[in-house]
Amino acid sequence: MDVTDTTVPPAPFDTTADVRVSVRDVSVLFSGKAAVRNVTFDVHSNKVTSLIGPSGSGKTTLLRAINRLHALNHKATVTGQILLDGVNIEDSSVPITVLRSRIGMVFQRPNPFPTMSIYDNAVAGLRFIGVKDKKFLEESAEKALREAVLWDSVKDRLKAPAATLSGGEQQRLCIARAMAVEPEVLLMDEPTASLDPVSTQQIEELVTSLKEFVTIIIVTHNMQQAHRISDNCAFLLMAEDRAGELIEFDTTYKIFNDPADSRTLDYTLGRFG
Amino acid sequence: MSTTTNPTDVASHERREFIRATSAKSYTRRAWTSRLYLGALSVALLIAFVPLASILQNVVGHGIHYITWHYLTTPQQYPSITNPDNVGGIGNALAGTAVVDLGAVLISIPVALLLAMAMFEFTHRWVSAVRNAMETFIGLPSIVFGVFTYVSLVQTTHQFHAYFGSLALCFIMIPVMTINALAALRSVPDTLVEAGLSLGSRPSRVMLHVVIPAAKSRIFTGIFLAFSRAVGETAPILFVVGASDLVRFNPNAQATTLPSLMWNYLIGSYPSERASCWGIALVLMAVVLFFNVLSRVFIAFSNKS
Repeated sequence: MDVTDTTVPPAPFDTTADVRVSVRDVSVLFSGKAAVRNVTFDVHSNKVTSLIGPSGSGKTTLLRAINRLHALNHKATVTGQILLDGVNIEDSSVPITVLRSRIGMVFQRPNPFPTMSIYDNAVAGLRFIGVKDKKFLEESAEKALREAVLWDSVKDRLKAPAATLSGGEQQRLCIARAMAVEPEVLLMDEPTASLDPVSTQQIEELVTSLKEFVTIIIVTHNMQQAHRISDNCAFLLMAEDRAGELIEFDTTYKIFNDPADSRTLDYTLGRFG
Repeated sequence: MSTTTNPTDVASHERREFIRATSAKSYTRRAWTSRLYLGALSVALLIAFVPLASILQNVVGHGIHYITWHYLTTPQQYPSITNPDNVGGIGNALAGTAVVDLGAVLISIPVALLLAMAMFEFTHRWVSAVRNAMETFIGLPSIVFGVFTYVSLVQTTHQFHAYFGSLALCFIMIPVMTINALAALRSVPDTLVEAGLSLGSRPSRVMLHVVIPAAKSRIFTGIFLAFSRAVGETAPILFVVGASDLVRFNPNAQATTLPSLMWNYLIGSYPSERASCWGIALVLMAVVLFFNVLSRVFIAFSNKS
């Protein structure tokens, strides 16, 4: 699992792999001013795709567009197309709630619902959707908590308030909460930014193991993290007018070892950022 | 790398299908519920809007032709049998209201701010007692303050003064301002206070240079809110400010205010007096609207910068 091991032959970018999410010429504008401009790339099924780049390069903005979270902000407009399994997510035939149950999200700071117990947090999404079957909920909670590698440490205190967990555990609970609605895609916005190194490592291992179940898109400030856990990597950079643009998209190996653009090399070597 | 084994995961695909189906089903139901409530909301809006529109239409319709510079600046006149339409203007009442309300604001702001700061800074059990007292004050009928001021000031001094009215209004303004200012101060993140204190600054410095600037717009919201409430109040000042048909700005003299002039005209015997009430009503509404809009503009402006 060590991608820095150069004895592993670099796989070229697989153009035949299953495309789950397709970002096509996407721009995000706030009050008419571009924050992300003309970004195009494909996200492969059951792979981890990381979005890297310095602060202000539009990584988070782009990620939020995939969950249509910008619909909450009337000053934001998203142009271009984002396709989930070939269907435009803005298509009116896809209710936004159904779309969001297919595309989960984990935020920068662990945000379990403070008034709910661990169990209630894990099944919150299912309950919101309208699942009432108690057995189904219990199974889902266990399944999701296992997927988030949290089950063994919380199975005896499921009724305890979520706030009693440590920061890393809270973040894993948030991952479990997102996984419980069986999303096909999981968006992660710097999920380890507020965690200690040990918790960070656990989350990173978790991300790798979750590939089996979902397609993951992760925003990270941490280049080593992108290097360690992602299969493909998008490098964004802020243009002169402060709008984020995609500089390069390729396999993580290629981005970190043999990038096509000199700015990518400078960034991954830590010459700026 | 750890692989997750999952005994309950018998048919992940089926689970996913079930969840999607439930989600889509509940979406249809919720879409209808949403339409139903939107309909109910529209009806409620109409119910709320019709009386409001009719009040506006009446007040503006009957009052707009009164609004002239002359009406606003000249004092009231007294109609008589030989001259039944001689009501004059409302200049004396406008001046009286300005003096009474301005006085109330000038007394309330420092008192309320100091109180809020003290309540923010100290954790003594009296703090919550003061808070409870304030909340009770907000709920009290305003005539109680009028009677209290009358008994404690007018009956003991046997005089009427405009500033008695200001003091009576303070009972209404101070609690609203204090509670709002306290909430504003408490909304400032603790980390900012800690960051300030960690520099070795005195708590008073942190309060003045960090907490208050951060809470500024909410504090001003409370001040405007309190002012809008007090401007329209009649009961507390009715008995204590006396009456005056001179256009003057003297807090130490008697004064007529817009609400009290309106009251006198309403119980007056000439139709011209009752008609003039529309003009006063329009002016009062315009003043309250003006300060509400001003506070909105101020909040929008301070949020932007």
